[in-house]
Parts: sequence; C-alpha cells; structure tokens
Amino acid sequence: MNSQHLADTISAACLRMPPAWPLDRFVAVNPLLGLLDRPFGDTAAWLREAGAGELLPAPPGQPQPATTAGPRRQTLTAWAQARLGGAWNTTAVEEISKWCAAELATDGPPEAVVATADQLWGRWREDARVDRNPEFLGWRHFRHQAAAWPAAAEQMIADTLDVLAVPPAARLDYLYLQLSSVAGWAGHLQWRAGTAEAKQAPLLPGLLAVRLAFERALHHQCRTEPTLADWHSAWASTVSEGTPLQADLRAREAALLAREAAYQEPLLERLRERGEPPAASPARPAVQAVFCIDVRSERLRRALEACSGEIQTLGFAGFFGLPLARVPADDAGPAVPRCPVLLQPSFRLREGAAEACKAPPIRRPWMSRVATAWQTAQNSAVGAFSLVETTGLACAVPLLAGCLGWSPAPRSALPPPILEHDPATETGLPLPEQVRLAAGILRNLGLTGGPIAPVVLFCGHGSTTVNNLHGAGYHCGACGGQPGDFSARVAAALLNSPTVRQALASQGLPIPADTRFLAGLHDTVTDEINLFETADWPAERGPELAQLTAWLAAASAACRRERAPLLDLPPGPDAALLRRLRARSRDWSEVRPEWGLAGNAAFIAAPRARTRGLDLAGRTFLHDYDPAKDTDGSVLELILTAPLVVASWINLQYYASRVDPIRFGAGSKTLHNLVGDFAVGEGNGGDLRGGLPWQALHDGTHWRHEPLRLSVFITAAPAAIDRVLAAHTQVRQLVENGYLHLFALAVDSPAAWRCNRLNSWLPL
Amino acid sequence: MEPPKTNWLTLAPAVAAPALLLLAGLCPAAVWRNRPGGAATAARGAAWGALALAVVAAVGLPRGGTSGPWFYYDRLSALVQVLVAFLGAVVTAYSHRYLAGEAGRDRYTRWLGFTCVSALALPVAGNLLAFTLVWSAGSFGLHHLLIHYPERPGAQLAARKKFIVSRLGDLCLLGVLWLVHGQFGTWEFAELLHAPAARPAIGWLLAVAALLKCAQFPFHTWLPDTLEAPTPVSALMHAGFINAGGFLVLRLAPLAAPAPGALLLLAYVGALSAAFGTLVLAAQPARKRALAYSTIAQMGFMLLECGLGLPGMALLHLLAHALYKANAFLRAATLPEPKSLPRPVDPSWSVTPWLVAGALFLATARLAGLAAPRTPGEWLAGSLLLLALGRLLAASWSSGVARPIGAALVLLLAALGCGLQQWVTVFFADIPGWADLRAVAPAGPAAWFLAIGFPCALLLIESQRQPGARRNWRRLQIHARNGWYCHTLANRSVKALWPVPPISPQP
Repeated sequence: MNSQHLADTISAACLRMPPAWPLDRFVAVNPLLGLLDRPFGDTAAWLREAGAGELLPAPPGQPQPATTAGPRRQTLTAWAQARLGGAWNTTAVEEISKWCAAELATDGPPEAVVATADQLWGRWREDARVDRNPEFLGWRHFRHQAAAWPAAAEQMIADTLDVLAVPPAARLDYLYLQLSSVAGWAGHLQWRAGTAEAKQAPLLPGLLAVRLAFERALHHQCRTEPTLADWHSAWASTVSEGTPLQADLRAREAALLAREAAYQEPLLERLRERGEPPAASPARPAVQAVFCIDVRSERLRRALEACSGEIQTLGFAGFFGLPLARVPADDAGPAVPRCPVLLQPSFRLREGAAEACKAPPIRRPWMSRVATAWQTAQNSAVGAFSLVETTGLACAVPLLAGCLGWSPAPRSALPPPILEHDPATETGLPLPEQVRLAAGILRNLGLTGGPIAPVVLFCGHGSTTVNNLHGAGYHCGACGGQPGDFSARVAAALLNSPTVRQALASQGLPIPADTRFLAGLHDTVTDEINLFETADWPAERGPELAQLTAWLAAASAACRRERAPLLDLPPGPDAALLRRLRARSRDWSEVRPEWGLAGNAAFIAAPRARTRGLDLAGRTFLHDYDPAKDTDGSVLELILTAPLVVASWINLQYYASRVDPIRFGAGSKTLHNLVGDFAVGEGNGGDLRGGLPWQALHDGTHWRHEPLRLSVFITAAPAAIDRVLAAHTQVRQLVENGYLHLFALAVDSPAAWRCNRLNSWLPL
Repeated sequence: MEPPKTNWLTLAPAVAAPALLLLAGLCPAAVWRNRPGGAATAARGAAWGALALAVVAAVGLPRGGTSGPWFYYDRLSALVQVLVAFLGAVVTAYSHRYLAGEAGRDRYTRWLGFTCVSALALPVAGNLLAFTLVWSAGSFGLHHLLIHYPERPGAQLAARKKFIVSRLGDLCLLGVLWLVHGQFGTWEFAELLHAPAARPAIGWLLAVAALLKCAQFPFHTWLPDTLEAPTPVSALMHAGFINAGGFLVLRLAPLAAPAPGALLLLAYVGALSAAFGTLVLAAQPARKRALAYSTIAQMGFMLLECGLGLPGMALLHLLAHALYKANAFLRAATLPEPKSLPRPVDPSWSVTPWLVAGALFLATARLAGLAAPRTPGEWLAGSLLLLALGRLLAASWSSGVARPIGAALVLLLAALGCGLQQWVTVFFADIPGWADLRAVAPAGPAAWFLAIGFPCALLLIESQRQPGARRNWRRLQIHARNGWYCHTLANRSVKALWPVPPISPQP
C-alpha cells in the first residue's frame, strides 16, 4: 500500500467521526455523520457486526440486545477481551482517556496546547515511556515498546497495520473501529481541529496512532497465541463476503418503516386536505410573530394563533439569518457564536449600554477579580487548608439557597446589543452591512411580497436551568446552543433603525412607517415570553403592546396546560402551574427540566396556511416557505442545506441516543463528571460521553422519544428539489440512503410525491 | 472532672432526631405502592424534621452537657449532630428530584435514610458498644448506596475496596471494646471519658481506626473510585461519613491522649496524605475526582491537627470542610463561567504581597491577643494561615484587584482566622480529654520537623505548580495523574481476592 493511499484511508477513517461541541455550546450532532454514504440498513448491519452500536430499535416488548453480543469484526483489544479474558479494551480506553483529559483539559499557555497529530502522538509516546500504569495493568514491557515506536503518527499507523496484517480492503473499517472505541475524545479532537479560533490541523490521526499503540502492544504480548489467527480470518471473511442483512435486522427495519408510516400517513392526509389554493391575499394582520423552527415553537404558535385571527406566525431558524458572535458587556467573557455551528460568525456585536461602549477601557467589575483571586488561592497548595477552615462554614448559605431554589436573576436584565461599528474592538456593523442583513431577513422570511403588520415580533427561545451540564442542549440549536434573545434583539434593532429603513426603501423593500419590530424570548421551561426594549415603545401605541402582551400571556398559559401532563404536573390554575415550572427551572437537583426536542418526527417547509390550526403535538419543525416568492430556488436551496440538515442532525441524535443509549447516549446524569470544562465522563473514568443523557429521553417509566427518522414535507415541485439534491451530496445521501423521508407537496392541489432517490419520485 | 448529669428533657430531641428518620424508613413498602415518590417525600420531610430536633436539642443544651445510659450529649455532640442533620436534610431533599424516575429509587431512599440515622446517632451515642454498632451500621448503609447501580463493575469494585478497609477499621474498634472492658469494666462514656489514664494500646487502635475511616494513605484508593454512585451519595460521604474518623479521636480524646506515639502517627500519616492528595488532585482533570483527592488531603490535615494537639481547630476544620465539600459536590453539574482572560499568572514570586500579608496577620494576631506559638501545633496553624493569606494577596494583586481591596480582604480573613482560633479555645474548653490532648501533644524534634516541614512541602508544591515550571514537572505529573499507582495495585489485589463477576451493562 503506497503512502498516499494510506494517507487517504486515514483521512477517510477520521472523517467518519462526527465532531462534538463543548458543553457550553452543546448542540445536536448526527452521530452517523460519517456513515451517510451507505444505506441506513447496511450501516445498521455493519455497526452490529462490528459491535459498534445498534441502529434499529427493538420491537416493543422485546429487550434491546446488548450491542456486544457476538460481534464478528472488532479491534484486537476488544476481540482479546471477549475471547481471552482480561480487560484489554477497557484498560486501553481508560488509559487513553486519562491521558487525553490530562493533556487537553488543563488550560496552559496557547503555545503549550497540542496543535498537530504528530505532536499529539509524540507527547503521548514521550509520556508512555514514563507512565508505569499500563504495566501494572498487565501490558508487559509497555514503556520499553513505546521507546521503539516511530516518531511520526502516520508511520506508526502504517507499521501497525503491517504488523497486524490487516487486509487492505478492511483497513478503512478497522481504523474507523479504533476511533469509534474512543468516540468521545475523537469527537472532541474533531471539534478542536474544526474550530475557526483554534485553526488547528486535524488531530485525529494522532489519536488513531495512540489507539493503535495498544493494539500493537497486545499483539506483541499474545503473538504466540494460535487463536490470533481467528481474529485475522474473522476480518478476512466478513470483508470478502460483504455484509448480509441479518433476518432480525430486516424484521426490525420493516417494523421501523411501519411505525414511520403510521406517523406519516395521517399527517400527510391532513396536509393534503389543505392543498387548495389559498383564498384571496389576506388582509394586513395585526401582529406577525416570527418563531424559531424548533419543535417547541409549534405549540406556542398554535396557541398564539388560537387567541386571534389577526395574528400571523412564521417559522424561521432562530438566529434570523444573522451569523453573529456576541461579546458580553464589559468583556466579562469571550465572544461566543450565536449562529448554527455549520456557519462561521461573520461579525461580532457587543452587548451593553451605548454610552459604556464609548468609555475606554472597559474594566471588569472588581468583584469578579476578587472571585478569581479567591479561586486561585483556594485551589493553591498553600491556601486550600486554611481558607477552607476559615470560611467553609459560610458554605451553609449556598447549600440552603440551593434547597430553597434561590438563584441569580434571570437573563431578562441583560443590556441591548450595540449595532454601531467600532473599528477599535472590531465589533458592530457598518451601515451597508446593516442594510444587507436587514434585507436578507425580509427576503428570507417572505415578508417582501405580502403586507407587513404594524407589530412584528421576533421571538427567540432559550431555557432556564441551573446546575445542569447539558443546559445548552435545551437552548436554541440555530443559535449554536445559546439562547435566542440576542439574535432577536439584533434583528429588531436593525429593522427599527430609521437609516436602515430609508436604505431599504430605496432598494424597493419598503417597510410601512407604522411598523414596529419587537424582540422576545420564549423560555421553554416555563413557557413565559419576555419582551425586550418595551421601554422604547411609543407611548401613543401602548394599547397595541398591551394587546400583544395579553395574547402572549394567554398563549403561554395554553402551552403550559398542554405540557403539564407531559411533565407529570398536576392540573390546576395557571398561576400554580407557572409557579411549579419556575421552581423547576431553578431547582439545582432537577434532571428533567423540560423534554427539549424529544418527540421530534417531521419537518414541514410550507406556507403556514397549510398547517395553521393543525395540532402537531410539538413534534414538527415548521419552516415557512412559499415557492411563489422563490423564483430562483435560492430559498429552497438554503432550507434544504441548512435548517433541514440541522433538523436531521437533531433527529438522528435523539434517534441514536434512544435506540442505543450505551453507545450513542451520554449515560445517566447522576454519574456525570465534568472533564476539563468541556465534556462529561460517566462514573470513574473511561471515554467522554457524547449524545443525550438518559434523563433527557426517559421519564423512569417510559421513553419520551419515539425513534422515527425525520419525515420531511416540502411544498415545492419535485424538479426544483432535484436540482438542490443534485448539487449537494450530503442532503442527497440523507435522502437516498434512507436517513430521512422526503415528500413534496403540490402548492395548489392535494398532489404529493415521495422521493426515493434523485430524479425518482413516487406519486401518492 | 465530674461526668455530666442526666437531663432527659435535653436529650430527648437529640435522640428523637435519628428515631424520626428511622420511623420514616421503616414504613412498609406497601404504603408507597400507589404513590410513586411517596417514600422520597416522606424521607425529605423526616430529614428536615430531624434537623429541627437536632437544633432544638443543641439550643437547649446546658453547659457541661448531659448524659444518660447509652447516651452522651455535649457541645461536641451537638455541633456534629446539627451538621450531620443539616447535610442529611440537604442531601435527602436534593435526591428527591435528582433520583426521580430511577428504578432503584425506593431502595436508595431507604439506605440513604438508614445511613443518615446512623450518622445522627453516632454523635449522641454514649456507650462504646453502641458507638461501634452505629459506626459499622453507617458503613453498611453507605456500602448499599455505593452499589446503587449494582450492574456497574466499577461501583462493585469500589464498594468492595471500601468494605475491606471498613472491616479493618471495625476490627480496631472491636479491639478497643475488648481492651476497654478489660481495663475499666464499663463501656459507658459518662464513666470512660472521666476515668484515669487508659492503656496506650487503646490510643493506638483508635488512631489506626481513624486513619482507616478517613481514607488516609495508603488506604485511600477506594474513595476516588466511588464516583460510580449518584452525586448526592458522594456529597454525603465526603461531607459526612468520612469525618467519623476525626470525630472518633475528638470524642474519645481521653482514651487517645495517653498514647503520644499514636498521636504522632496520626500527625505523620495525616501530613503525608495531605501532601499526597494536594499533589494528585492538581493532576486530575475530572472535577469530581479532583474533589475526592481534595477530601483525602483535607482529612489528612484534620488528623494532623488532632495529632499535634489542636482538637478545636480539627473540629472547626471538620465542620467547615463538610459544608464546603457538600456544596462543591452538589453543584458539580454547574459549568464554570466562561473565562475571557487566561488564568492569572503570577509573573514572579514577588515577596511584597507575602510580607504585607505577614505584617497584617501578625498585627491582627497581636491585637486579638494571641500568644506567640509555643507548640508545633500552634506553629503549624499560624504558618499555614499566614501562607494562605500571602497566596491570596499575591493572587489578588496579580489578577488586578486594587491593592487596598486586596489588603482589606486579607485583613478581614486574618481577623476571622484569629477570632475562630480564640473561639474554639474558649467554647470547647470543657470537652473531655481535649486539655489532655493539648498537654500531651508531641513536642519533640519529630513534631517540630513536621510542623516546619509540612508548610515548606506545600510551598514547594505550590512553586512547582506555576506554569513556568510545568516542563520539569511533567514526569512527576504523570505519576501524580496515576496517584502513584496505588490505585491500580489496590484494584489488582482486590480483584484477585474478591473477583467482581462480569455483568452486562443495562441502559
């Protein structure tokens, strides 16, 4: 095998590992991201054969078999552990995790952070020559061997593949299995390499070399065992024979399809019933409210529309098309992106009172400096004992506060964003950019063709939880695992700006003079909606704001009533329910503050008229799309490549965490241990746990997420969709390989089609 | 000194506190069959009730304490019982939602209650036999909490390691029972704590039992492995039960004092564990594991204070550390605030902040009327407080706190430290045996070596932790990361002695 071929194999294996975002911006990632090139059923069969996960849910009543039951192709350590006894695989994973945590979790100076694969491998090799633990664990002469291994990661991989005589055709799968045995760290390293801030080279080959070192050491140790030949033949045989779908898998896939059909058919029927051309263009509504496509917005939109026929709601990704990063007031923290993780933020906005921005330099409050100093002293070797002794008794206060549910003030008090451009700090936006973004919002929301209401609300969403490592997972995914308030406030501020409006009018995008844009935040735990900048609301239009507030309050209450049974809360007056939910959002011991996106099953891109009044049970992503306004197909392309992909990531993360919680889930929250501020481990050690915790999916008696692949309904001509599929491989693979179901709905008739693959549509 | 008089009116609430919790736990399972979570709610109510009773008892305590057959209740008992009742209530309340929906929730609630009952009974036990029984019962309850997830091999292994260490501790207490009965013919504290000098062998056994209970080197390896149990169990264990070793020495001080050699052992092993824990915890990137090593270090320091004749400071440390550690564990799922700036680095080891802190401390001590240190214990306490203040001032100034604010903070802390030292001396003046502990505390060259060497060792560790020193530090860090391999060796031995059967994991 020549070296270029090997390098390609290595990078292909590494590309199969999905990145894992750190906890403070925890977003859903499709755990099968690198496996989309084969059909869903084949991936399931392959993963089962390799003992690397179960992808098809067991029929109800039948227990999920352990994923390790008789896998045929495994890493050498896993195979030896199963056949020869010992804890080879377990200790290898534990040792690697321990080293990665120590190397990557301590925040040293930037130049000390590992930056390339060779550096990663080199540091590990250096440490392995000192670390005696593997030898105490039974890996003989480990330090001695480490001295003899090559210095370059790729060389190590090549040598090991040769030493172990892995058949060339099996190498890609073999290398992938190595990485997937330390999937948590692989995901973290993949994220590190991909972040713009870090600008690091791919690190995964380094991890691969480390993992292979254990394979090689084991081979060195049990070279004499005749049974090693079995391992080779297992690899050789399965690779040459291909992967036949086992009968059980077939039955399961059929059962899955049947359950998906049972969900899709009634929904499709209801959507088709409304396939009539809409009546004459509607009068100008009193309020237009724009919500995130998140499934939790569906309930709120339905409840809000039920309040009055004069309310129109729209669905759009919760960052409102603004790829921004937020710089906290007073530089109290780093700039954090507030856009989908697939995008890079293209500008930074500072938060804070306008006058504070002009007063250089902005100093951190002295309180936080004292807190930092206190932490440093308390964590120091000389300070730990006496400081605990002198001040530890005061910890009774936070303990009591925790029991009583006292927590710091909620987010509503944050200052508004500053739009003005400030070249010194590289924050804010010049006017032409502001106009461009404002025009983009209007076009993408479809507000250009129809009337714009006198009140337009941009409503982001976020979740209030305390003492919750996975709290960011409940925030807005389109805002990169952050609450959506900032983006909504920026959108409203842009469109309220008189200079921006003037420029928009000259571009042919007039905004009625009486239109006011407002920003709000939907708290998904309590379903309260907090409006921002209401102090700036013109006094003479007070009644409109009062009316909107009343409608929102009614919608919130209706939402809470609907969610109460799901959270096992007793029915009662709304005030009591709200009190309970508020207490829940501040409870330091709460492991199920809300159900997040559990239950998600469909994505509908259609005019709201198609779905208005339908009870979709908080299971659908709703994106507004009107093909009539999208003459060049660019909006459709945007929807299929961005929001749809994000929805599919979310859907498959919930799916995989539900179907195989051991392999794809994060384990139990009660055992989570924060590793290096960015990830969780479970229990004493071992690999990082990605995916969703058990408590996010299960209420103790029942699973709260039904594993269904996403059903996508789009009002567009099949040919238009085909044009997008042809141009975008990832979306095409999702459709053709069965990672989601795609349906096209005719705009003005009940006709519908199901997409099998590119250019192949089945009329329904 | 005369044994205290029996006052049942005071004793009643102190005894009722564990009894109330026991009653809640004894409710038959049938009562809760149709009420999911009912057992947890009842336990929560009982735990807060027990706290109320413990507080009532403590408030009504007459000076000099009270005792009755099987019970002994004085200021030491009262403070420790209130602490344990508070922690028990917090942990039970926390578990109410935290464990909601878990299959083993009712079993967990029962064992949690059982463990809290033992912890509440231990401070008021007034008979050596009762004390030993409650001591063992608590360990037994904890064992069941540690294997709350019985299918996890790590949980089984840790529980087994702890089981073995605990039984060794029980053996020591059985030896104490036997020796005490041989010498005094009674197990009642009211008589024992006011009796003439005990045999030194008793002191030695007590010291070893305390070291075993407090997870001291080299019997510490079970403690960092108990993260396979739910977080509130860790909180209860690290804040509550691990302190029992310190309480043993403080309660039975009259029996331990006649063995100065045993006290020196306590001090040396404690200091070793404190230094060991400090070194290892800095190399642990996982939060709860670092907290576990911190507990080993803090318990070591507490026993060091016991051994060097500072029982009051040891008790203060026990109480303060318990609250601090419970809070740290229960909030272990809180992400740290995002940092915009890298952690402050002391550009150099400037002596100015240390000198200023030293001057402030000495002035405060002088004003507070503290005498110059005469014993190794006093020297140790003073020098460590001084170092902590110096470190705090250095850290404040290097992270940009205004100089007067930093100095004011140090002054405040110095006053607090001196005040607390004064307070424990006065407030606990008549705890039986503490005067003896102070009087017989080792003061020879070995003790002075420890009193001067321990702060120096900490200073050395601290200087090596600075980022500039990281490269040279690396080899040592690798060993520290592995806890000097004690861990792996202990696991190997326990697996060989008592194999954990392979269990397939369940979701």
